[in-house]
Amino acid sequence: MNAEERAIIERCKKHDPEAFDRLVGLYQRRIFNFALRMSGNHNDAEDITAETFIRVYNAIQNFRGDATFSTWLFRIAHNVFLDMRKKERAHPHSSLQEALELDESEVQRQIEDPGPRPEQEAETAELNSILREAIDQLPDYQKAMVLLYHTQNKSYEEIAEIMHLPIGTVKSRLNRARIALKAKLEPLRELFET
Amino acid sequence: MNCETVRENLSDLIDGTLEQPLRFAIENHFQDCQACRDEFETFEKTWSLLDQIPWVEPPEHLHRRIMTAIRTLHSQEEAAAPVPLWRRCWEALSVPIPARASMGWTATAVAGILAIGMIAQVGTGNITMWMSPTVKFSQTTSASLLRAVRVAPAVSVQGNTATVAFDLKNSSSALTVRSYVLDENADRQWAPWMLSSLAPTSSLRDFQTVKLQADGESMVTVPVNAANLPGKVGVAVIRMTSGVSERYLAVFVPTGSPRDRVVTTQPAQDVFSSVIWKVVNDHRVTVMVDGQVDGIVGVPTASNPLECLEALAAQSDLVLDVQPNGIYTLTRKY
Repeated sequence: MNAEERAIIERCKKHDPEAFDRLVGLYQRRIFNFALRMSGNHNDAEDITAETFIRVYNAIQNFRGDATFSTWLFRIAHNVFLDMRKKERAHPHSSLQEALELDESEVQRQIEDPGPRPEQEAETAELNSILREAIDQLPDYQKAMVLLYHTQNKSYEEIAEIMHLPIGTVKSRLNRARIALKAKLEPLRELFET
Repeated sequence: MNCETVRENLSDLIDGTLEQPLRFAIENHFQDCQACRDEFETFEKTWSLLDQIPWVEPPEHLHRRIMTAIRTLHSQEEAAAPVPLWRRCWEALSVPIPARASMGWTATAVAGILAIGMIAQVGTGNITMWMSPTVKFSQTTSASLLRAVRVAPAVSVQGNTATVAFDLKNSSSALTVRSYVLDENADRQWAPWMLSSLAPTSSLRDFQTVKLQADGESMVTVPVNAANLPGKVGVAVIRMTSGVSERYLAVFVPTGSPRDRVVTTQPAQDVFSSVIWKVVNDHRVTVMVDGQVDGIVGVPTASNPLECLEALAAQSDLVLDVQPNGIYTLTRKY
């Protein structure tokens, strides 16, 4: 965290809306991407991101700087996601919506791929799609770890703080997640070798 | 060193966090074990694939949605903050009665400019006016994708039920309809993004969600059950999706009988919904709103709904249409 970010956070603690505007600008992309991969759909990702920043607004005075701000922020985002899951389990959605969500990856591919594309791009699209599906199949706790480590560049220590787990547990679970992913990514073997 | 121990430590080996003796032992093991070496290579490739997970840009409206929610919270805090003692004393001592009258007139005029029908009065340091909860609409898609989902202008309202005819152009299109009642008792709970996001939240009362997915023309009936709640406005929010694109439409329906209410001043973004509320309540018409509306709008007092909505449309960059069935529509200029 640089001096500028520290100054923004101090202003945020005084509930200065302009400072929050800067803070949202700095972090919303990271939180949105984390939320999107965790939830698997854009609507939930938006809701999780928005709720995360609202909770930050309400709780920022409690941020003492023991952890980095980003670690603290991801802990909130992760909690928001878990709360949403809890609510979903209590009030499951109708199957039509699920059907829509399931269709979405197919639809996305249709939209992202409107005409003939270079082979390289098609391979990248296929790779992304398989990767996304493989990650989606992981249990939530493993998915969170993989995303925090590989997309958000969080260290084992930071992941342990975000998820309230001992560092050894993070390491062993992350290892198991990667082994599971390796098996799921077997269809990509050909792409590995090109 | 056995194969199981090697495989347990592959992450740390790639990560470079393994203690040196263990690393050497594993590397020695690789020399004799082709299976573990293959396992390591595949593992390393998986690792590098994971590092390539693509990033997605958040939708443009997300930042605005978050900030609108934060500004609403901020305004509520400011409104709730007690007036400092020094200020109360100063006002009591230094403002003569004619000046107070003038202040009251100014406050009324400002409120009148902001939105029709607001009743402003100078009370104990706060201006109070009756306003609706915040309503905001968003659409996050390109015009070409929007054409995939078309809502026919066939909305009819009978009693407390709005019926919307829609035409889904392809099987990936769907509608999610959520109806609820705007209720002044929930003013503290409202956030501007609630209507546009269809986010599940306990503060939205009397809502129900209908999800439909179909080919060709279909009809959906949206009940807005507010008959027993006098002075409320029923709202059906319709989320239309086609693949990853989405669009929102809100239908405001008059319910019960109009009744004035008083709530604490809300931020300026509320003015838009306040106007809609007023038009619906006073003129007993149905208003449909589609698209994204931001910013402050100022609508002069008018005696008929058409004038109110024309002024609102002009200032909000909306297109106003009056449908043959008498329903007013406000549509975003795409």
